[in-house]
Amino acid sequence: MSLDKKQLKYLAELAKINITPAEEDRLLKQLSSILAYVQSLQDISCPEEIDHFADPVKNVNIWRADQVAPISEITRQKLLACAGEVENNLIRTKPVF
Amino acid sequence: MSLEYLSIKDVQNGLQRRDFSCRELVDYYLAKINQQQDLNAYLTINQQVQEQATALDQKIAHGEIIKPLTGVPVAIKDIIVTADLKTTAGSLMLQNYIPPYDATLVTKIKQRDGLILGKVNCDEFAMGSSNENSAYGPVRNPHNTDYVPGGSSGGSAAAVAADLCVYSIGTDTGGSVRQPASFCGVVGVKPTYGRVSRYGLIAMTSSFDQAGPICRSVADAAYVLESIAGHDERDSTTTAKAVDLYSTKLSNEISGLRLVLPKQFLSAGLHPEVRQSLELAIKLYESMGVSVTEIDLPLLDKVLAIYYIIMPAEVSANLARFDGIRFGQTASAQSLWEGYKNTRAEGFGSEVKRRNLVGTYVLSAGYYDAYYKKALRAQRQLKIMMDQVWQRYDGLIGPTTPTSAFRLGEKTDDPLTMYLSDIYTVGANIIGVPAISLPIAWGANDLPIGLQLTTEPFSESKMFSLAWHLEQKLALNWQPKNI
Repeated sequence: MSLDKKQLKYLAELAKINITPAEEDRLLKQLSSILAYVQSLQDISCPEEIDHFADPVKNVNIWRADQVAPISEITRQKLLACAGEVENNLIRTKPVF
Repeated sequence: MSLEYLSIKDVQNGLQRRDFSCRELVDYYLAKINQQQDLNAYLTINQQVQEQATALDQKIAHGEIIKPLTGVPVAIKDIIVTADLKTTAGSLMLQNYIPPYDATLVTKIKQRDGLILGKVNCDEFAMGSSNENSAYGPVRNPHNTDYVPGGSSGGSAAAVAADLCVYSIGTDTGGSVRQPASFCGVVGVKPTYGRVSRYGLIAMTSSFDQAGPICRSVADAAYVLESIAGHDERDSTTTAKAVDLYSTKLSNEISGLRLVLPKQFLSAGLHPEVRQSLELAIKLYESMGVSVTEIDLPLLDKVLAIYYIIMPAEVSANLARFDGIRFGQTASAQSLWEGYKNTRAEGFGSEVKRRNLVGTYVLSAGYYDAYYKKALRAQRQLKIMMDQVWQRYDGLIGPTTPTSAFRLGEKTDDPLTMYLSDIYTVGANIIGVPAISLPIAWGANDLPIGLQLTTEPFSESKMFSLAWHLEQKLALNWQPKNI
Protein backbone atom coordinates (compact mmCIF):
# COMPACT_ATOMS: atom_id res chain seq x y z
CA MET A 1 0.00 0.00 0.00
CA SER A 2 2.10 2.87 -1.24
CA LEU A 3 1.26 6.43 -0.44
CA ASP A 4 2.09 9.23 -2.87
CA LYS A 5 3.04 12.80 -2.04
CA LYS A 6 -0.37 14.15 -2.97
CA GLN A 7 -2.09 11.77 -0.51
CA LEU A 8 0.43 12.63 2.20
CA LYS A 9 -0.20 16.35 1.76
CA TYR A 10 -3.94 15.70 1.92
CA LEU A 11 -3.59 13.72 5.15
CA ALA A 12 -1.43 16.47 6.65
CA GLU A 13 -4.12 18.97 5.72
CA LEU A 14 -6.85 16.86 7.37
CA ALA A 15 -4.71 16.34 10.49
CA LYS A 16 -3.74 20.02 10.54
CA ILE A 17 -0.03 19.30 10.89
CA ASN A 18 2.56 21.12 8.76
CA ILE A 19 5.00 18.78 7.11
CA THR A 20 8.29 20.14 5.83
CA PRO A 21 9.68 18.91 2.49
CA ALA A 22 12.53 17.31 4.46
CA GLU A 23 10.03 15.24 6.47
CA GLU A 24 7.99 14.29 3.42
CA ASP A 25 10.21 11.58 1.97
CA ARG A 26 10.88 9.86 5.26
CA LEU A 27 7.21 9.97 6.27
CA LEU A 28 6.16 8.62 2.91
CA LYS A 29 8.42 5.61 3.34
CA GLN A 30 7.45 4.97 6.95
CA LEU A 31 3.72 5.39 6.47
CA SER A 32 3.76 3.14 3.40
CA SER A 33 5.49 0.40 5.36
CA ILE A 34 3.07 0.69 8.29
CA LEU A 35 0.04 0.65 6.01
CA ALA A 36 1.44 -2.32 4.10
CA TYR A 37 1.71 -4.20 7.41
CA VAL A 38 -1.83 -3.47 8.57
CA GLN A 39 -3.11 -4.40 5.11
CA SER A 40 -2.66 -8.01 6.25
CA LEU A 41 -6.05 -7.69 7.96
CA GLN A 42 -7.56 -8.03 4.50
CA ASP A 43 -6.49 -11.70 4.54
CA ILE A 44 -9.03 -12.63 7.17
CA SER A 45 -12.72 -12.88 6.53
CA CYS A 46 -15.16 -11.88 9.23
CA PRO A 47 -18.55 -13.61 9.30
CA GLU A 48 -21.43 -11.43 8.09
CA GLU A 49 -23.09 -11.28 11.48
CA ILE A 50 -20.07 -9.75 13.23
CA ASP A 51 -21.06 -6.17 13.88
CA HIS A 52 -18.39 -3.49 14.02
CA PHE A 53 -20.00 -1.41 16.72
CA ALA A 54 -20.40 -4.04 19.42
CA ASP A 55 -18.17 -3.05 22.32
CA PRO A 56 -15.61 -5.71 23.26
CA VAL A 57 -16.12 -5.12 26.97
CA LYS A 58 -19.83 -4.95 27.58
CA ASN A 59 -20.57 -1.36 28.35
CA VAL A 60 -23.90 0.35 28.23
CA ASN A 61 -24.52 4.01 27.63
CA ILE A 62 -24.51 5.93 30.89
CA TRP A 63 -26.86 8.89 31.04
CA ARG A 64 -27.53 11.64 33.51
CA ALA A 65 -29.49 14.88 33.47
CA ASP A 66 -27.64 18.06 32.49
CA GLN A 67 -26.26 19.93 35.47
CA VAL A 68 -25.01 23.47 35.77
CA ALA A 69 -21.65 23.18 37.50
CA PRO A 70 -20.60 26.49 39.01
CA ILE A 71 -16.89 27.18 38.80
CA SER A 72 -14.77 28.82 41.48
CA GLU A 73 -12.76 31.94 40.67
CA ILE A 74 -9.52 30.11 41.53
CA THR A 75 -10.30 27.36 39.04
CA ARG A 76 -11.28 29.90 36.40
CA GLN A 77 -7.94 31.68 36.81
CA LYS A 78 -6.02 28.39 36.65
CA LEU A 79 -7.84 27.44 33.45
CA LEU A 80 -7.19 30.83 31.88
CA ALA A 81 -3.54 30.55 32.87
CA CYS A 82 -3.31 27.49 30.62
CA ALA A 83 -4.64 29.32 27.58
CA GLY A 84 -2.52 30.80 24.78
CA GLU A 85 -3.89 34.31 24.73
CA VAL A 86 -6.23 35.82 27.28
CA GLU A 87 -8.05 39.17 27.17
CA ASN A 88 -10.66 40.37 29.68
CA ASN A 89 -10.92 36.91 31.21
CA LEU A 90 -11.73 35.49 27.78
CA ILE A 91 -9.60 33.24 25.61
CA ARG A 92 -8.60 35.03 22.43
CA THR A 93 -8.21 33.33 19.05
CA LYS A 94 -7.56 34.41 15.48
CA PRO A 95 -10.72 35.08 13.49
CA VAL A 96 -12.45 31.97 12.24
CA PHE A 97 -13.59 33.64 9.03
CA MET B 1 17.40 0.64 59.49
CA SER B 2 18.01 0.46 55.77
CA LEU B 3 15.51 2.27 53.61
CA GLU B 4 16.63 0.38 50.50
CA TYR B 5 14.07 -1.32 48.30
CA LEU B 6 11.20 -1.07 50.77
CA SER B 7 7.89 -2.67 49.94
CA ILE B 8 4.51 -1.08 50.69
CA LYS B 9 4.12 -3.35 53.73
CA ASP B 10 7.67 -2.44 54.89
CA VAL B 11 6.67 1.23 54.84
CA GLN B 12 3.43 0.57 56.70
CA ASN B 13 5.21 -1.48 59.38
CA GLY B 14 8.15 0.91 59.59
CA LEU B 15 5.93 3.94 60.07
CA GLN B 16 3.78 2.14 62.64
CA ARG B 17 6.81 1.05 64.66
CA ARG B 18 8.38 4.51 64.29
CA ASP B 19 11.48 2.93 62.67
CA PHE B 20 11.54 5.93 60.36
CA SER B 21 9.43 8.95 59.52
CA CYS B 22 7.75 9.95 56.25
CA ARG B 23 10.15 12.86 56.00
CA GLU B 24 13.18 10.56 56.28
CA LEU B 25 11.72 8.35 53.57
CA VAL B 26 11.10 11.24 51.23
CA ASP B 27 14.57 12.69 51.85
CA TYR B 28 16.09 9.29 51.11
CA TYR B 29 14.33 9.10 47.73
CA LEU B 30 15.03 12.70 46.79
CA ALA B 31 18.74 12.15 47.45
CA LYS B 32 18.76 8.97 45.39
CA ILE B 33 16.88 10.65 42.52
CA ASN B 34 19.52 13.34 42.56
CA GLN B 35 22.34 10.77 42.44
CA GLN B 36 20.77 8.87 39.54
CA GLN B 37 19.98 11.73 37.20
CA ASP B 38 21.76 9.87 34.39
CA LEU B 39 18.79 7.51 34.23
CA ASN B 40 16.60 10.52 33.33
CA ALA B 41 13.61 8.85 34.97
CA TYR B 42 12.14 11.97 36.58
CA LEU B 43 10.90 15.05 34.72
CA THR B 44 9.48 17.07 37.60
CA ILE B 45 10.02 16.83 41.34
CA ASN B 46 7.14 17.82 43.64
CA GLN B 47 8.60 20.82 45.47
CA GLN B 48 6.00 20.42 48.24
CA VAL B 49 6.67 16.78 49.06
CA GLN B 50 9.02 17.37 51.99
CA GLU B 51 6.51 19.73 53.60
CA GLN B 52 3.73 17.21 52.92
CA ALA B 53 5.80 14.43 54.51
CA THR B 54 6.44 16.50 57.64
CA ALA B 55 2.72 17.35 57.92
CA LEU B 56 1.86 13.66 57.57
CA ASP B 57 4.37 12.75 60.29
CA GLN B 58 2.48 15.12 62.58
CA LYS B 59 -0.86 13.54 61.67
CA ILE B 60 0.60 10.11 62.40
CA ALA B 61 2.00 11.32 65.75
CA HIS B 62 -1.56 12.37 66.60
CA GLY B 63 -2.89 8.88 65.96
CA GLU B 64 -3.63 8.89 62.23
CA ILE B 65 -4.17 5.31 61.07
CA ILE B 66 -1.53 4.10 58.64
CA LYS B 67 -3.23 2.28 55.78
CA PRO B 68 -1.48 0.73 52.78
CA LEU B 69 -0.23 3.64 50.62
CA THR B 70 -0.14 6.07 53.59
CA GLY B 71 3.23 7.78 53.56
CA VAL B 72 4.41 5.67 50.64
CA PRO B 73 6.46 7.67 48.11
CA VAL B 74 5.13 7.24 44.57
CA ALA B 75 6.13 8.46 41.11
CA ILE B 76 3.35 9.28 38.63
CA LYS B 77 3.79 8.88 34.87
CA ASP B 78 3.68 12.29 33.23
CA ILE B 79 0.66 11.38 31.08
CA ILE B 80 -1.50 11.59 34.23
CA VAL B 81 -2.58 15.04 35.42
CA THR B 82 -1.61 16.24 38.88
CA ALA B 83 -3.04 19.51 40.13
CA ASP B 84 -0.54 22.37 40.27
CA LEU B 85 2.30 20.02 39.30
CA LYS B 86 3.58 20.38 35.74
CA THR B 87 2.39 17.62 33.42
CA THR B 88 4.04 17.34 30.01
CA ALA B 89 2.96 13.96 28.62
CA GLY B 90 6.61 13.73 27.50
CA SER B 91 5.85 16.33 24.83
CA LEU B 92 7.00 19.83 23.93
CA MET B 93 3.33 20.58 23.32
CA LEU B 94 2.72 20.62 27.09
CA GLN B 95 6.12 21.86 28.22
CA ASN B 96 4.55 24.49 30.47
CA TYR B 97 1.21 22.88 31.26
CA ILE B 98 0.11 23.11 34.89
CA PRO B 99 -3.11 21.11 35.28
CA PRO B 100 -5.86 22.68 37.38
CA TYR B 101 -7.09 19.30 38.52
CA ASP B 102 -6.04 15.83 39.70
CA ALA B 103 -6.75 12.57 37.93
CA THR B 104 -9.19 10.44 39.94
CA LEU B 105 -6.47 7.90 40.74
CA VAL B 106 -4.27 10.72 42.05
CA THR B 107 -7.15 11.91 44.25
CA LYS B 108 -7.46 8.38 45.62
CA ILE B 109 -3.73 8.22 46.37
CA LYS B 110 -3.92 11.61 48.09
CA GLN B 111 -6.99 10.49 50.10
CA ARG B 112 -4.82 7.68 51.43
CA ASP B 113 -2.05 10.19 52.23
CA GLY B 114 0.32 8.87 49.59
CA LEU B 115 3.36 11.08 48.94
CA ILE B 116 3.93 12.07 45.33
CA LEU B 117 7.65 12.47 44.72
CA GLY B 118 7.19 13.75 41.20
CA LYS B 119 6.36 13.01 37.56
CA VAL B 120 8.29 10.45 35.62
CA ASN B 121 9.40 10.40 32.01
CA CYS B 122 7.46 8.61 29.28
CA ASP B 123 7.25 8.34 25.52
CA GLU B 124 5.47 11.35 24.07
CA PHE B 125 1.70 11.06 24.59
CA ALA B 126 2.30 7.43 25.60
CA MET B 127 3.40 6.50 22.09
CA GLY B 128 6.40 4.25 22.06
CA SER B 129 8.01 1.08 23.36
CA SER B 130 11.39 2.35 24.50
CA ASN B 131 10.95 5.82 26.07
CA GLU B 132 13.10 7.15 23.18
CA ASN B 133 10.17 9.22 21.91
CA SER B 134 10.17 11.56 24.90
CA ALA B 135 10.85 15.21 24.07
CA TYR B 136 12.93 15.29 27.27
CA GLY B 137 15.47 12.62 26.38
CA PRO B 138 15.41 8.86 26.70
CA VAL B 139 15.37 6.97 29.98
CA ARG B 140 18.07 4.40 30.63
CA ASN B 141 17.55 0.86 31.88
CA PRO B 142 18.95 0.67 35.45
CA HIS B 143 20.17 -2.90 34.85
CA ASN B 144 22.37 -1.83 31.94
CA THR B 145 22.37 1.82 30.99
CA ASP B 146 23.21 1.17 27.30
CA TYR B 147 19.76 -0.35 26.99
CA VAL B 148 16.22 0.99 26.92
CA PRO B 149 13.88 0.62 29.89
CA GLY B 150 10.96 -0.03 27.56
CA GLY B 151 7.97 2.23 27.01
CA SER B 152 5.90 4.12 27.13
CA SER B 153 6.08 3.97 30.97
CA GLY B 154 9.89 3.78 30.85
CA GLY B 155 10.43 6.37 33.57
CA SER B 156 8.04 4.53 35.89
CA ALA B 157 9.69 1.14 35.44
CA ALA B 158 13.23 2.54 35.72
CA ALA B 159 12.35 4.50 38.88
CA VAL B 160 10.86 1.43 40.57
CA ALA B 161 13.77 -0.83 39.56
CA ALA B 162 16.39 1.69 40.67
CA ASP B 163 14.68 2.38 44.02
CA LEU B 164 13.82 5.99 43.20
CA CYS B 165 10.31 5.45 44.64
CA VAL B 166 8.40 2.57 46.22
CA TYR B 167 5.96 2.22 43.33
CA SER B 168 4.76 4.05 40.25
CA ILE B 169 1.53 4.44 38.32
CA GLY B 170 1.92 3.96 34.57
CA THR B 171 -0.58 3.62 31.75
CA ASP B 172 -0.98 0.70 29.36
CA THR B 173 -2.58 0.99 25.93
CA GLY B 174 -0.69 -1.71 24.01
CA GLY B 175 1.70 -2.96 26.68
CA SER B 176 3.11 0.29 28.04
CA VAL B 177 3.09 -0.91 31.66
CA ARG B 178 3.90 -4.57 31.10
CA GLN B 179 6.70 -4.25 28.54
CA PRO B 180 8.83 -1.74 30.52
CA ALA B 181 8.13 -3.77 33.68
CA SER B 182 9.50 -6.81 31.85
CA PHE B 183 12.58 -4.91 30.57
CA CYS B 184 13.31 -3.52 34.05
CA GLY B 185 12.70 -6.63 36.13
CA VAL B 186 9.66 -5.35 38.00
CA VAL B 187 5.96 -6.20 38.21
CA GLY B 188 3.48 -4.37 35.95
CA VAL B 189 -0.29 -4.74 35.77
CA LYS B 190 -2.81 -3.70 33.16
CA PRO B 191 -6.23 -3.98 34.84
CA THR B 192 -9.44 -4.95 33.03
CA TYR B 193 -10.69 -2.08 30.89
CA GLY B 194 -13.06 -0.11 33.10
CA ARG B 195 -11.45 -1.19 36.38
CA VAL B 196 -9.55 2.05 36.97
CA SER B 197 -10.87 5.49 36.07
CA ARG B 198 -9.33 7.20 33.05
CA TYR B 199 -10.42 10.63 34.29
CA GLY B 200 -7.23 12.66 34.27
CA LEU B 201 -5.31 10.39 31.91
CA ILE B 202 -4.31 12.44 28.88
CA ALA B 203 -6.17 10.34 26.36
CA MET B 204 -4.23 8.31 23.82
CA THR B 205 -6.58 5.47 22.81
CA SER B 206 -9.76 5.86 24.84
CA SER B 207 -10.99 2.31 24.27
CA PHE B 208 -7.66 0.70 25.30
CA ASP B 209 -6.02 3.01 27.90
CA GLN B 210 -5.80 1.76 31.48
CA ALA B 211 -3.66 3.02 34.34
CA GLY B 212 -1.86 0.35 36.33
CA PRO B 213 0.71 -0.19 39.07
CA ILE B 214 4.41 -0.80 38.48
CA CYS B 215 5.89 -2.30 41.63
CA ARG B 216 8.68 -4.42 43.01
CA SER B 217 6.41 -7.30 44.00
CA VAL B 218 3.06 -8.85 43.17
CA ALA B 219 1.77 -8.02 46.65
CA ASP B 220 2.59 -4.33 46.18
CA ALA B 221 0.77 -4.30 42.85
CA ALA B 222 -2.26 -5.84 44.56
CA TYR B 223 -2.28 -3.15 47.28
CA VAL B 224 -1.99 -0.39 44.72
CA LEU B 225 -4.67 -1.70 42.37
CA GLU B 226 -7.23 -2.20 45.13
CA SER B 227 -6.63 1.43 46.13
CA ILE B 228 -6.86 3.07 42.71
CA ALA B 229 -9.62 0.93 41.21
CA GLY B 230 -13.30 1.71 41.42
CA HIS B 231 -16.32 3.22 39.76
CA ASP B 232 -16.02 6.89 38.85
CA GLU B 233 -18.90 9.12 37.79
CA ARG B 234 -16.44 11.15 35.77
CA ASP B 235 -15.49 8.17 33.60
CA SER B 236 -18.56 6.48 32.19
CA THR B 237 -16.51 3.52 31.03
CA THR B 238 -15.70 2.47 34.59
CA THR B 239 -17.47 -0.57 35.93
CA ALA B 240 -19.90 -0.56 38.85
CA LYS B 241 -18.50 -3.92 39.98
CA ALA B 242 -17.05 -3.80 43.50
CA VAL B 243 -13.26 -3.83 43.88
CA ASP B 244 -12.02 -7.15 45.22
CA LEU B 245 -9.44 -7.07 48.02
CA TYR B 246 -6.70 -8.60 45.88
CA SER B 247 -4.07 -8.38 48.62
CA THR B 248 -6.05 -10.75 50.85
CA LYS B 249 -6.35 -13.44 48.19
CA LEU B 250 -2.76 -13.76 46.98
CA SER B 251 -2.17 -17.13 48.61
CA ASN B 252 -5.43 -18.60 47.30
CA GLU B 253 -4.96 -22.11 45.98
CA ILE B 254 -4.00 -22.30 42.29
CA SER B 255 -3.71 -26.07 41.94
CA GLY B 256 -6.25 -27.28 39.41
CA LEU B 257 -6.18 -24.08 37.36
CA ARG B 258 -5.68 -24.55 33.62
CA LEU B 259 -3.51 -22.26 31.53
CA VAL B 260 -2.99 -22.22 27.78
CA LEU B 261 0.05 -21.27 25.75
CA PRO B 262 -0.95 -20.05 22.28
CA LYS B 263 1.25 -21.52 19.55
CA GLN B 264 1.31 -18.05 18.06
CA PHE B 265 3.44 -16.87 21.01
CA LEU B 266 6.22 -19.24 19.92
CA SER B 267 6.86 -17.24 16.75
CA ALA B 268 10.18 -16.87 14.94
CA GLY B 269 11.08 -13.64 16.71
CA LEU B 270 11.05 -15.25 20.18
CA HIS B 271 14.58 -15.18 21.57
CA PRO B 272 15.88 -18.57 22.79
CA GLU B 273 16.67 -17.22 26.28
CA VAL B 274 13.09 -15.94 26.62
CA ARG B 275 11.75 -19.26 25.37
CA GLN B 276 13.88 -21.10 27.93
CA SER B 277 12.63 -18.95 30.78
CA LEU B 278 9.04 -19.55 29.62
CA GLU B 279 9.64 -23.30 29.70
CA LEU B 280 11.04 -22.99 33.22
CA ALA B 281 7.94 -21.10 34.32
CA ILE B 282 5.70 -23.74 32.78
CA LYS B 283 7.55 -26.51 34.65
CA LEU B 284 7.18 -24.59 37.89
CA TYR B 285 3.46 -24.13 37.35
CA GLU B 286 3.04 -27.82 36.55
CA SER B 287 4.83 -28.65 39.80
CA MET B 288 2.21 -26.52 41.57
CA GLY B 289 -0.68 -28.44 39.99
CA VAL B 290 -1.44 -25.90 37.26
CA SER B 291 -1.81 -27.45 33.83
CA VAL B 292 -0.42 -25.74 30.72
CA THR B 293 -1.73 -26.77 27.31
CA GLU B 294 -0.60 -25.55 23.92
CA ILE B 295 -3.44 -24.11 21.85
CA ASP B 296 -3.82 -22.82 18.31
CA LEU B 297 -5.38 -19.35 18.13
CA PRO B 298 -4.75 -18.23 14.51
CA LEU B 299 -6.41 -14.84 14.93
CA LEU B 300 -3.62 -13.88 17.37
CA ASP B 301 -1.37 -13.39 14.32
CA LYS B 302 -3.48 -10.36 13.43
CA VAL B 303 -3.46 -8.53 16.77
CA LEU B 304 -0.77 -6.02 15.81
CA ALA B 305 -2.58 -5.15 12.59
CA ILE B 306 -5.84 -4.64 14.49
CA TYR B 307 -4.03 -2.53 17.07
CA TYR B 308 -2.17 -0.37 14.56
CA ILE B 309 -5.43 0.57 12.89
CA ILE B 310 -7.70 1.20 15.88
CA MET B 311 -5.08 2.92 18.04
CA PRO B 312 -3.89 5.53 15.49
CA ALA B 313 -7.52 6.22 14.56
CA GLU B 314 -8.35 7.12 18.15
CA VAL B 315 -5.06 8.98 18.57
CA SER B 316 -5.90 11.19 15.60
CA ALA B 317 -9.21 12.05 17.25
CA ASN B 318 -7.85 12.51 20.78
CA LEU B 319 -4.94 14.72 19.78
CA ALA B 320 -7.14 17.04 17.72
CA ARG B 321 -7.63 19.08 20.89
CA PHE B 322 -4.03 20.34 20.79
CA ASP B 323 -4.53 23.51 18.81
CA GLY B 324 -2.65 26.04 20.93
CA ILE B 325 -5.77 27.82 22.06
CA ARG B 326 -7.02 26.55 25.42
CA PHE B 327 -3.81 24.87 26.65
CA GLY B 328 -0.39 23.84 25.43
CA GLN B 329 2.09 25.70 23.30
CA THR B 330 0.95 28.30 20.79
CA ALA B 331 2.96 28.84 17.62
CA SER B 332 3.01 32.17 15.86
CA ALA B 333 0.74 32.42 12.84
CA GLN B 334 -1.23 34.81 10.66
CA SER B 335 -4.42 32.82 10.55
CA LEU B 336 -6.34 30.34 12.65
CA TRP B 337 -5.56 27.42 10.32
CA GLU B 338 -1.90 28.33 10.12
CA GLY B 339 -1.90 28.49 13.90
CA TYR B 340 -3.19 24.94 14.17
CA LYS B 341 -0.72 23.57 11.64
CA ASN B 342 2.31 25.37 13.08
CA THR B 343 1.44 24.60 16.70
CA ARG B 344 1.02 20.93 15.93
CA ALA B 345 4.11 20.76 13.73
CA GLU B 346 6.24 22.34 16.45
CA GLY B 347 4.64 20.67 19.45
CA PHE B 348 4.44 17.06 18.26
CA GLY B 349 7.40 14.72 17.79
CA SER B 350 7.78 12.39 14.80
CA GLU B 351 6.11 9.31 16.26
CA VAL B 352 3.08 11.36 17.26
CA LYS B 353 2.88 12.84 13.75
CA ARG B 354 3.23 9.40 12.20
CA ARG B 355 0.40 7.88 14.23
CA ASN B 356 -1.81 10.91 13.67
CA LEU B 357 -1.38 10.54 9.90
CA VAL B 358 -1.97 6.77 9.91
CA GLY B 359 -5.12 7.33 11.95
CA THR B 360 -6.30 10.08 9.62
CA TYR B 361 -5.78 7.74 6.68
CA VAL B 362 -7.69 4.77 8.10
CA LEU B 363 -10.63 6.98 9.04
CA SER B 364 -10.77 8.91 5.78
CA ALA B 365 -13.45 8.50 3.15
CA GLY B 366 -12.70 5.62 0.84
CA TYR B 367 -10.49 3.83 3.35
CA TYR B 368 -12.69 3.73 6.45
CA ASP B 369 -14.45 0.47 5.52
CA ALA B 370 -11.37 -1.44 4.45
CA TYR B 371 -9.30 -0.43 7.46
CA TYR B 372 -11.12 0.92 10.51
CA LYS B 373 -14.41 -0.92 10.12
CA LYS B 374 -12.56 -4.13 9.26
CA ALA B 375 -10.35 -3.75 12.33
CA LEU B 376 -13.39 -3.30 14.58
CA ARG B 377 -14.97 -6.44 13.19
CA ALA B 378 -11.71 -8.39 13.61
CA GLN B 379 -11.56 -7.08 17.18
CA ARG B 380 -15.05 -8.39 17.82
CA GLN B 381 -14.13 -11.72 16.30
CA LEU B 382 -11.07 -11.92 18.56
CA LYS B 383 -13.23 -11.20 21.59
CA ILE B 384 -15.69 -13.96 20.64
CA MET B 385 -12.81 -16.40 20.17
CA MET B 386 -11.28 -15.53 23.54
CA ASP B 387 -14.65 -15.78 25.31
CA GLN B 388 -14.68 -19.39 24.21
CA VAL B 389 -11.17 -19.89 25.59
CA TRP B 390 -12.19 -18.44 28.97
CA GLN B 391 -15.07 -20.97 29.11
CA ARG B 392 -12.61 -23.84 29.32
CA TYR B 393 -9.39 -22.30 30.65
CA ASP B 394 -8.26 -19.95 33.38
CA GLY B 395 -5.72 -17.88 31.53
CA LEU B 396 -3.00 -17.44 28.93
CA ILE B 397 0.66 -17.83 29.75
CA GLY B 398 3.46 -16.51 27.58
CA PRO B 399 6.45 -14.21 27.37
CA THR B 400 5.79 -10.50 27.88
CA THR B 401 8.19 -9.55 25.08
CA PRO B 402 10.03 -11.49 22.34
CA THR B 403 13.44 -10.36 23.65
CA SER B 404 14.89 -8.66 26.69
CA ALA B 405 15.62 -4.92 26.45
CA PHE B 406 17.29 -3.71 23.25
CA ARG B 407 20.01 -1.07 22.94
CA LEU B 408 19.27 2.64 22.86
CA GLY B 409 19.03 3.65 19.20
CA GLU B 410 18.72 0.08 17.95
CA LYS B 411 15.13 0.30 16.71
CA THR B 412 14.63 4.00 16.13
CA ASP B 413 15.17 3.89 12.34
CA ASP B 414 12.25 1.66 11.49
CA PRO B 415 8.96 2.24 13.35
CA LEU B 416 7.64 -1.16 12.36
CA THR B 417 10.53 -2.97 14.09
CA MET B 418 9.68 -1.06 17.24
CA TYR B 419 5.99 -1.94 16.97
CA LEU B 420 6.81 -5.65 16.80
CA SER B 421 8.05 -5.63 20.41
CA ASP B 422 4.41 -5.25 21.48
CA ILE B 423 3.31 -8.42 19.76
CA TYR B 424 2.40 -10.28 22.97
CA THR B 425 0.96 -7.40 24.91
CA VAL B 426 -1.52 -5.66 22.58
CA GLY B 427 -4.04 -8.52 22.63
CA ALA B 428 -5.07 -7.83 26.22
CA ASN B 429 -5.82 -4.18 25.39
CA ILE B 430 -7.80 -5.07 22.29
CA ILE B 431 -10.18 -7.32 24.20
CA GLY B 432 -10.07 -5.38 27.48
CA VAL B 433 -8.79 -8.14 29.77
CA PRO B 434 -6.34 -7.93 32.69
CA ALA B 435 -2.70 -8.96 32.32
CA ILE B 436 0.38 -8.95 34.51
CA SER B 437 4.11 -9.14 33.82
CA LEU B 438 6.54 -10.39 36.44
CA PRO B 439 10.31 -10.99 36.26
CA ILE B 440 11.21 -14.65 35.98
CA ALA B 441 14.82 -14.89 34.87
CA TRP B 442 18.01 -13.05 34.04
CA GLY B 443 19.10 -12.91 30.42
CA ALA B 444 22.33 -11.82 28.75
CA ASN B 445 23.90 -8.43 29.60
CA ASP B 446 22.32 -8.42 33.09
CA LEU B 447 18.90 -7.80 31.56
CA PRO B 448 15.76 -9.31 33.10
CA ILE B 449 13.13 -11.41 31.33
CA GLY B 450 9.42 -11.22 32.10
CA LEU B 451 6.49 -13.62 32.00
CA GLN B 452 2.97 -12.52 31.16
CA LEU B 453 -0.30 -13.93 32.47
CA THR B 454 -3.59 -12.89 30.90
CA THR B 455 -6.96 -13.82 32.41
CA GLU B 456 -10.63 -13.10 31.73
CA PRO B 457 -12.36 -9.76 32.51
CA PHE B 458 -12.43 -8.74 36.19
CA SER B 459 -10.52 -11.83 37.32
CA GLU B 460 -7.62 -9.87 38.81
CA SER B 461 -7.74 -11.89 42.04
CA LYS B 462 -7.02 -15.08 40.14
CA MET B 463 -4.37 -13.37 38.03
CA PHE B 464 -2.63 -12.01 41.15
CA SER B 465 -2.61 -15.35 42.97
CA LEU B 466 -1.22 -17.12 39.90
CA ALA B 467 1.56 -14.53 39.73
CA TRP B 468 2.18 -14.50 43.48
CA HIS B 469 2.67 -18.27 43.75
CA LEU B 470 5.21 -18.23 40.91
CA GLU B 471 6.99 -15.26 42.42
CA GLN B 472 7.24 -17.06 45.76
CA LYS B 473 8.48 -20.25 44.13
CA LEU B 474 11.15 -18.44 42.10
CA ALA B 475 12.31 -16.24 45.01
CA LEU B 476 14.29 -14.26 42.46
CA ASN B 477 16.43 -11.28 43.44
CA TRP B 478 15.64 -8.97 40.54
CA GLN B 479 17.51 -5.90 41.87
CA PRO B 480 19.85 -4.20 39.37
CA LYS B 481 23.35 -5.55 39.88
CA ASN B 482 25.18 -2.45 38.75
CA ILE B 483 23.72 0.31 40.88
